[in-house]
Amino acid sequence: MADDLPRIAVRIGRKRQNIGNDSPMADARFSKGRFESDHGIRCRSGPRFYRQTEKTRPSAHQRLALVFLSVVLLIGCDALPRDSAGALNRVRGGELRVGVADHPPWVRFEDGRVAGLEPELIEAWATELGARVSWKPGAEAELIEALHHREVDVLAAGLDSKTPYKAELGLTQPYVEVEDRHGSKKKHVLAVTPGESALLFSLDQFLAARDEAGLRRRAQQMQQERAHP
Amino acid sequence: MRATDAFDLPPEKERELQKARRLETWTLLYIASSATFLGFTMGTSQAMQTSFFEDVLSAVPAAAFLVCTRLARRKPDQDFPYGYHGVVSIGYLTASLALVVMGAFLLIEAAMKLIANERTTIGGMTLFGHTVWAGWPMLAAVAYTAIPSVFLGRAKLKLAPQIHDKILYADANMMKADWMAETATAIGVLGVGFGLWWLDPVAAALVSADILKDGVVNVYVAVRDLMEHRPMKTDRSGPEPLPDELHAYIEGLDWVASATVRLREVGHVFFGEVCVTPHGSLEDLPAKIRRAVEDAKSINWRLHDVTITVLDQQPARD
Repeated sequence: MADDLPRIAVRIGRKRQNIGNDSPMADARFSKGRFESDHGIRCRSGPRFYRQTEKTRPSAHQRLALVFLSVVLLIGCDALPRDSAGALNRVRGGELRVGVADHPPWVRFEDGRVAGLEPELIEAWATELGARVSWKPGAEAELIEALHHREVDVLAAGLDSKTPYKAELGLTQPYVEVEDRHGSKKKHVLAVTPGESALLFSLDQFLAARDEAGLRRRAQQMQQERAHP
Repeated sequence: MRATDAFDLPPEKERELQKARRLETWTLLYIASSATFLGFTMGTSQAMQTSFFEDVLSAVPAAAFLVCTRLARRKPDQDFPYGYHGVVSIGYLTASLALVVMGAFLLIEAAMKLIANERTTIGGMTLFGHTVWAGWPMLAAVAYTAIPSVFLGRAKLKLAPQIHDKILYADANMMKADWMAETATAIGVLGVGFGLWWLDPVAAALVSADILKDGVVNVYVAVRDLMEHRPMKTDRSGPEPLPDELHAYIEGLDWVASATVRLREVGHVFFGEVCVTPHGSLEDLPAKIRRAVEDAKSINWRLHDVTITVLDQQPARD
C-alpha cells in the first residue's frame, strides 16, 4: 500500500494542473514522499493522501459483503443447487413419481398404458438416475395441486413455456419448439415440485443433452398422425 | 404580466451541469443494459424480479433530471412569469411517488409469496452449449447491476451540491446505496441454491422495503419543497446560509436602519422579498433601491429575483 501512495499523489497533482494554472498546486512536484509546490506549500504525503484514498476503499460493510459472497461462491461451485426437501437424493435409486395428464401427442393413454413423447423422455431420465417410475394419471389442475403438496416429483402434461402456472411452477427449459395445429410456435416444458432446484437442474441437464432436431421431427410426425389417423 | 429575467448559470456551474447531464445519460444507457441482463436471467425468482423492477425504476430520477434541467432553462414568458424552475420540484414529486407505489406493490407481493409457501425453483440454463445452474448468470447480472452503480452514484453525489439539484442528489444517493439491495438479491438467489427457498421472498421483501423507503423519503422532501420550506442545503445537512448573507448585506447598507428577508426556493434558484426601514435622508431612495437589488443579485448566482419593500417600521410580529 505504501508504495502506491506516491503514484496516487502524483495523479492528484496532475488533476489540479488541469483545473487552472493559478492554483497553488498547479506546478507541484512530488519527491520522496513530500509534496511541494513552487508557492512553498508543502505537505506530507502520508496521512493526508491516505485519507483521500481511504474514501475510495470499501467500507466495513462492503468488505463484509464481499467476504461473505466469495466464501459462499467457493463452497457453492460444486454443491449448488440443492433441493429444499431433498427430492433428487430420494429419487436416485428409488421411486420417481410422475404426474401425467392426457394431452396428445405429448402424453396419451393407450390401452391403460402411458405413452407419448414426454413419458418416453422421463423414462430415459429415470433410467439415468437409477429410479423406477410410478405414473400418477390425473387432470392437469389436479396434478398441479399434487405438485404443490409434493405428492408428485414431475409433471408431464404437454405444458408450454407460456402456461398460466408459469410463475408458481418449477419449469424446465424448453426441450423442443414446434408449431401447434393453430400454427403458433410453442416451447414445450416439463415441471418439477416447486423448490426442488437440484431435481430441476438434473432434468434440465438431461433435456439439454437430447437431440432437439430429432425430438422436433418425432413431435411433428405424432401431430400429423393425430390429425389424419 | 411582466416576466422575470432570463436565467443563465455561471460558466463553471454550466460545465458542472453538462457533466451531470452526461453522467445521467450514461446512467440511462447503463440501466438499459443491466435491466436487459436482469430481465434475461431472472426466471421465477422473486428477488430477481424485484431487483429488475428496482433497476427499471432507478431510471425514473435520471430521466426526470434530464427532462427537468432542459425545461427549467426555458425563458420566463407571459404565461409563466416566474420561469419554469418549478417543473424540477414537480418532476421530483412524480418520480418519488412512482417509487412509493412500486415499493409497496413489490413488498406485498413478496409477503404473499412467503405466506403462500410458494417455493422458488432455479434450474439449468443452456449458454453456448453448456448447461449451467441458472443461479450463476443471475449472480453475474446482479454484480453487473451493483458494482458500476456505486461509482456512478459517487460521481453524481459530488456534482449534486455544486448545481443544487435535489433530483440529482436523491438519484445519486439511491444509486450509491444500490449495492445493498443487490447483495440482498444475491443472498436470495444463493438461498434458493442452498434449498432455503424462503430466502428468496425475504430478500425480495428487503429490496422492496428499500424502494419504499427511498420513495417515502423523497416524497417528503419533494412535498416540503413544493410547500416552500425554508431553503435547505442540497445535501439536507442544514439551513442554507444565503438568506442570512442577504440580510447581512442589506443591513450593512448605510441608508438601511433594519431589514427582514424572506426567500423561497424554486428549483435551482431563489426568489425573495426584503423589507427595509431606511434612516437618514430619503433622497435618491428609488436609485438606492435599484442599486441594492442589482448588488444583492450578484451575491450568489442562485439569488435570481429580489424585491425591496420600504416601510417606516418593520411589521409587528406576534
